[in-house]
Amino acid sequence: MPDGHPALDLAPARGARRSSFRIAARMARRDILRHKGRSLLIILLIMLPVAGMSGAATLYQSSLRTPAEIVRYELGNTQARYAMLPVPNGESLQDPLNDTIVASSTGELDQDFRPSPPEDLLPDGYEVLPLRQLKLTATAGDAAVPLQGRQVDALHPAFEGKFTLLEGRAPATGDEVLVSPGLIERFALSFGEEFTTSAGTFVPVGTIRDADASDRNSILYLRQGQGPAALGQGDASPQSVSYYLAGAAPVTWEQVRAANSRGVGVLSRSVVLSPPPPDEQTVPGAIQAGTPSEQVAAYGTFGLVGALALLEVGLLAGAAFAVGAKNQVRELALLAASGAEAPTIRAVVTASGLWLGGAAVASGAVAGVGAAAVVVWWVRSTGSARLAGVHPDPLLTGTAMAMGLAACLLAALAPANRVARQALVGALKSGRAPAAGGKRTTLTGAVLLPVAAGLLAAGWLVAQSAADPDERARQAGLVSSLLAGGAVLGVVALVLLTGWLTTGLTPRTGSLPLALRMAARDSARNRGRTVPAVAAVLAAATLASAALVLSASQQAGQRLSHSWSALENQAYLPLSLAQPPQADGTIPPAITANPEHLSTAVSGALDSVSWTRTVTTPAPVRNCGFGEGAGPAGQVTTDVSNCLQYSLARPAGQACPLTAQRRVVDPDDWRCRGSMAWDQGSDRSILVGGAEDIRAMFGREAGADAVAALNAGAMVVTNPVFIRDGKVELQGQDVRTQQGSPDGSVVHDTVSSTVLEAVTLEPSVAVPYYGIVSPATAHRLNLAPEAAGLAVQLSRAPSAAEVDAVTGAIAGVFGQPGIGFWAEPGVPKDQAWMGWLIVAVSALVTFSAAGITTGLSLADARTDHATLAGVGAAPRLRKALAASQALFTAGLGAVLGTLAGAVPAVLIVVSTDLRTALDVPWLPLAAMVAAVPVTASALAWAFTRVALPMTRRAPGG
Amino acid sequence: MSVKGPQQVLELAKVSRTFGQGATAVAALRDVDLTIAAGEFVAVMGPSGSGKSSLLALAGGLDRPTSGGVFVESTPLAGLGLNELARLRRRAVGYVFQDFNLVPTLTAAENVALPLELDGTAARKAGRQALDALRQVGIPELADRFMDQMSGGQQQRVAIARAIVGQRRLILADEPTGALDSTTGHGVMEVLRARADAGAAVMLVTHEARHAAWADRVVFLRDGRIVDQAAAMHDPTFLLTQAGL
Repeated sequence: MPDGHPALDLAPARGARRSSFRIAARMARRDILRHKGRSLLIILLIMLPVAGMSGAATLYQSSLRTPAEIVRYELGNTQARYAMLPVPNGESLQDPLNDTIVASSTGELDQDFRPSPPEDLLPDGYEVLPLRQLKLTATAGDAAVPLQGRQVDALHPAFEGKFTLLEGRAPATGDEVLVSPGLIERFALSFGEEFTTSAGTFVPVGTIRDADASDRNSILYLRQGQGPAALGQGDASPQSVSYYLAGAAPVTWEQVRAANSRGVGVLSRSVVLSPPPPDEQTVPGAIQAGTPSEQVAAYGTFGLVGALALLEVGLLAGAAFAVGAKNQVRELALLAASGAEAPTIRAVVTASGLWLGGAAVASGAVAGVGAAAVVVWWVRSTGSARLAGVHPDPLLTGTAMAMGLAACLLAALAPANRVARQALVGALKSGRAPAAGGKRTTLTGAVLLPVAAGLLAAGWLVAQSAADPDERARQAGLVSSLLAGGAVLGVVALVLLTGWLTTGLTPRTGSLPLALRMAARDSARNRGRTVPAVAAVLAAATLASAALVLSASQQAGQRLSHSWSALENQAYLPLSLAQPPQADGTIPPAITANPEHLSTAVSGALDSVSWTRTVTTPAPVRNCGFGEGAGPAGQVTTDVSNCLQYSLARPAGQACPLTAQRRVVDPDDWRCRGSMAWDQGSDRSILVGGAEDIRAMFGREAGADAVAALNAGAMVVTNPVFIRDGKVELQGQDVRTQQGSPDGSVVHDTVSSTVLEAVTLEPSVAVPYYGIVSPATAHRLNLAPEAAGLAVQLSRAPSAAEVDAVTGAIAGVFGQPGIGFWAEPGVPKDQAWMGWLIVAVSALVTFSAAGITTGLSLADARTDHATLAGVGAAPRLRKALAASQALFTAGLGAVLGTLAGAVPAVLIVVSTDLRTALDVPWLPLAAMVAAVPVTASALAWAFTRVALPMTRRAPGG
Repeated sequence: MSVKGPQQVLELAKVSRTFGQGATAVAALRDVDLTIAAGEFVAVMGPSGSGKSSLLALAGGLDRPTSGGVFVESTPLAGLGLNELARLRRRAVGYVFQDFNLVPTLTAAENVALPLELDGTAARKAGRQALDALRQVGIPELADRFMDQMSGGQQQRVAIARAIVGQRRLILADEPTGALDSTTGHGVMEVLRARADAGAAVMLVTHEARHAAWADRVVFLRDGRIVDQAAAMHDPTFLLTQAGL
């Protein structure tokens, strides 16, 4: 060789790859520091979802108690707790960590098994501290309201950790008590103020926290021996007493098993902290527990939401990486000219992803877990027992971090591959990245799009091919797979075709204003940043539009299938309150209320009462013996009892057609809709009254026909399915009898039947009434009409506090609690916000994508803008360009995404049981397609400076 | 294929390069034959668009010819893969560009050491060699500076140091003084001349006759063809006339 030089050796050098990657990492790190804004943007994009997922995972885990927390919160310093365990036989075992759950059992009911009282099984050598749960009432105004009571020496040192004195002092006298903070708040008490309960009158002197319960509960803490002597014995069932053992010796798993075999559960400190091996936690022949579906679902949801979030941010970050790579292209080309191989060049960009991704996921995990820790601390400081302590979830947090890092690396990979393929000479000369090798991408998209359309069409055709709902249900898996597969492929195809579409649209922009024209061409020339941004908007719009259609249709389905208990904001209060049988088996008479008194009480408790009306019905069922020994032997109706309930018979052929598996053949069939189409009859299914009652209970004016029918002794019926040839059959049933029907429901023997003339008056909504007859007709038919209830019409839905207040007022009228106040809320309306929330989230992604791509475009186009300024362009052209860029990115992504999401969603709805409830929310969809891009454009206009930013020129010689 | 002499570092044999296809095809180079021997300094001159930079790119393995062969130290580049071409550039070829082309995220020493480090040389050893190269171009004190902390002349010296570091014997310079003042440009030409005198083959693309005058031989390109070759004349006016400028 010349000059004695060795032959040119082009074999790979040892360590070259490692050395090259070291350079790439160094260059990437310094590039990140040189472009702090862009780097921070990428870090934030990845960090936020990772923080969200880490925080959610931590909160989820924090809601589960650790063994140490279980013993601290539930046992304090005691060794164990003994209480009743509802087992079916003596061969059952509890969960070692939860003494209320039977974890292993054959499930066979042993009729001879008799559980032992827990106190009989308490081992010797311990101080026994009983805790008795009490059902008390307290006086609130005229009413007696329910109240929890606990009889326990809560301040015993053995309960340290479980009970904590928050404020005040320990009770010193017989009438002094401790209470929960919730009780103080609920009854507006202060320390030293007397408080009357069914256990006596007491004086709260302090508040106490149970680590096992929320402070908001209203709990009265009595000490042993406090209150009436009988309180602790007769009033408390065995299940309501727990025995805590204070002592030194641990309670073993063997002792727990022995107690379980006697029907007693034990929470043992030593067992909780050191559970027995799994083979000791089961009994032979035990029913196998199912998979922990709740946890699987939680993890699945976590993964799905996280993956979607990271897909979005990955696409957004991809745009930022694309611009970074583009700005680096000259530097990278120089690296290649210096002898760097393609992997090294690619590694510079991917190393950026690694650095930024690493920083982002680390800070995201720290932020997420830290925020969750603050939430846990705050929640516990408010006295809630919902979160046990800060429990980071290493698996889920690690998964979130890995997903974030992968998203960041994937976002960097596409531009890295592009610059690695670059033509060196062209890059060195122009500093502009060569156009992406888009042919293969476009071709793939072009192939996938018809495949996606084919899958969607196949799914729809398969769904339509089966007229039988049972068959359709069997095909649901196949149909949903085809449709979901088609939807996913459609999105992928559109993303792949975005570059081609962007380029294809450019020649058609010739007639547009200059700014729009330039924006379109800039997008086409810089597909590296345009495509990820459009893809991010597209993906968001796809998910949002699909969610909008599915959510709206589901809500429409709920509206259609809503079961109305009365008209909207209407409550029905019975005028009698049945009493439980006494010890000797006799049933005391029901407590009745005067409707006027009840109306006054309700109107006094609520300021939203529009009117009240006494409702008359046939005599309601009362004092009717059920169960063992009861039967139809006696009279169905006596002076003190009534076992007769009325309903309308369905004429033959007018039942709702059902499939073999009891699915509705056609939800639109008239026989399957309207009042009482699916409801079981009740005491108040037949009303007695006139035109005013129709207006009050049906929400419709009676009309001449209805009034005439009532006057003529006919019945006004709410649903024509009960009428044949202008007549209905009124049946009286003995509710003491029970028979199974072919559809699996329980029916009673019909003991009377009367055919009546009838007219139809459909209520404004499907209220649960068969119809109404006049008082005269009711008497004629021996229906024994009587004032049975009070209808209360409110002008609005009551708040929880108002329900509490009116319940107390009702209890005051009856002299005891037992009648709840339930105002029909109507169909869910307030879920409309959900649609707009979906639009808002989509808008957020759109604004981000448009903002990123616009900002990057402006940064790229400084030279062009200087040129424009030089030829006399108005300063606001820069704003117009930014606005146009945002409009182009957001508009194209929104239109494509909405199509890609809404079409499959509509197909899914019409292929399932929701098909009759298809609801396309045009307004939110239109907002997403039009208003959001326009807003993004306006924001870009607003936030773009008119002045061209001045930059320092490169140093010259 | 031509016969390669023992002194030849670079040979281009019947090299053509055409960009584009069909009606838009542009022939940047047509049947160019050129050899440069070790220790020879060749200047390439010609008007804009004559194919000077294309010639340089082909010589350095940055581009492939449409036809013909390129040989560096007797190695035919046509048979080399992308990775082998990359190794060729870092072991045998040094590039100097008009716009300095330093990697902004690396210091001067790191820029110079770049080909060595890419080839697996330990960072410390590569740094020592880079410092030697910087010493050869007279700026060892700038080793730790970044690109934006140096003047244009200093940057170009760093670029030359990067081109000469290691065992590379082919230096390709594309208008290395284009962005420099005359004094600084003179210094750069001194360095290139010194490298040729030390045994390297240097190919300089330039518009300026006063810089071509440093060469042993001047090649004139027009419309992608070599129209003349001559020993360098130290009369700038003559060279300008020859170059058609």
